[in-house]
Amino acid sequence: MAWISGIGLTPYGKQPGPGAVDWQSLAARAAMHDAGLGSSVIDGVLAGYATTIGHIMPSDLLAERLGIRPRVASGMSVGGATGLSMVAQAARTVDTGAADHVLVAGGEDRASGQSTETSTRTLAQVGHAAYEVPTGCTVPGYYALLASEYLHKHGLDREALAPFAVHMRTNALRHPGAQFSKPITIDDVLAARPIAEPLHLLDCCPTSDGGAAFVVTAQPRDKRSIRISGIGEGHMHQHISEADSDNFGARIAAERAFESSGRRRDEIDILGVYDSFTITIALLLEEIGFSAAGRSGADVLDGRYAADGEFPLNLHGGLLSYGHCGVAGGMAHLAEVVTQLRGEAGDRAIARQPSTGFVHADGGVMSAHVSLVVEAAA
Amino acid sequence: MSEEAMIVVRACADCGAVWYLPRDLCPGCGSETVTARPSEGVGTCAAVTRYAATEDQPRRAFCLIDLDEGARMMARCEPSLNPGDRVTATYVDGMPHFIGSR
Repeated sequence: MAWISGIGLTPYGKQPGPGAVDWQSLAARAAMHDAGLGSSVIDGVLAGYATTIGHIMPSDLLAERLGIRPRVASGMSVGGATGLSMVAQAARTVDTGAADHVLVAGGEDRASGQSTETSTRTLAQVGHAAYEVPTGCTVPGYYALLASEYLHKHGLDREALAPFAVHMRTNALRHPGAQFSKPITIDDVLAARPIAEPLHLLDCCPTSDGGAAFVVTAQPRDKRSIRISGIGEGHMHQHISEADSDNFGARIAAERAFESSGRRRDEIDILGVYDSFTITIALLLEEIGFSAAGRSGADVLDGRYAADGEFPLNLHGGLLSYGHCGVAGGMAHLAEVVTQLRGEAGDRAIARQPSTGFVHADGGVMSAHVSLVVEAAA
Repeated sequence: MSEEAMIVVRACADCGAVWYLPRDLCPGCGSETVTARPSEGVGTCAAVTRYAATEDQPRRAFCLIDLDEGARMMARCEPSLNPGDRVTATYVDGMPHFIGSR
């Protein structure tokens, strides 16, 4: 049994100055403080890659910075799924007894530490080096292709995805750490400049500077510790040319997480689902089964994912509006779900106190999938 | 058409699975008897994305094509293509570039 006993989440945005390890350290110290655990008792460190430094030993780099001498240390890299993958690995690590208090951290100066051109080129390398990258397509283009196929398959136009952008922005307005604080409407989303059609600017997450961290423990510290009751992964392909649009791997990951937790989908009270683009979250919600195929955007409009709806979703604002600083980007969803399960969300607290949450992230082009089920102490 | 520019699809000699990118073992059955053969370059467009023109580059488009041989591939294409269109491969700058079939 593994527990999330500490969380650390910095504001995300364009915040020049700190480097990648600075952000990781900031978030890590916040998580250790939140857990009430000092550097001397942290005996595992998992840290994610940062594109701005490209260091080959991120966990040792962070451990030294924090004066931690862990029994277990590993750097991890599965794209946007890295954060949840590290939490899953931390849970497995404490389950084996290899360590008892594992620090998990991600952070990067993705917005300020490199040019947009460099960032775009680095991320485009998730494509095939010989067959896809040379075409000049970039990550927004890969996801735009998935959007084009989705909209054609369901007879929809791009307006069907716009509700997700408005939903995330509306939620972000209630979080002081969010990158964006200006309300937007469906019309704004439709009128934004095209990036990779059918995706326009507000269909795409920003790049951000920031960090996130967790402390995963073998025993609960107190009632604020949140149990990781289910873990599932799915890895069906790396490249879009080999992807199966009817089975990206999200459903497989989610079903494994539900099965290991003993929970059903309808027992979930709150969601944190990866939303790098509006199409990303539409595909994930539909493949996992929270919405019927082709229906997720309409479900947003119908209130299903609102704070007072059946499945409150990304109440911090998601990648689309809280921000996306690489590995930490997909960790903010879990930080928000844990905060809500603890009953510490303040103004953002949903009316009925949630007890069971579901979090999902994907990396690459819907390539690597990790799902977690997390639960508050009874 | 230069030989190196031709589209190649892979097929498993044991189970018949067909795919596009190089793999050492069949994704369907794990067999090592993977064969490669040139594609006719004809198929159906599954998806299109268009990038606006910039100072450095003209308007560009990329597509997902379901080749008639059964493999899916990502490639460059004419911006006028739409999902559902029948397409044929041409070769520009040594790379496949799909246009609408006549």
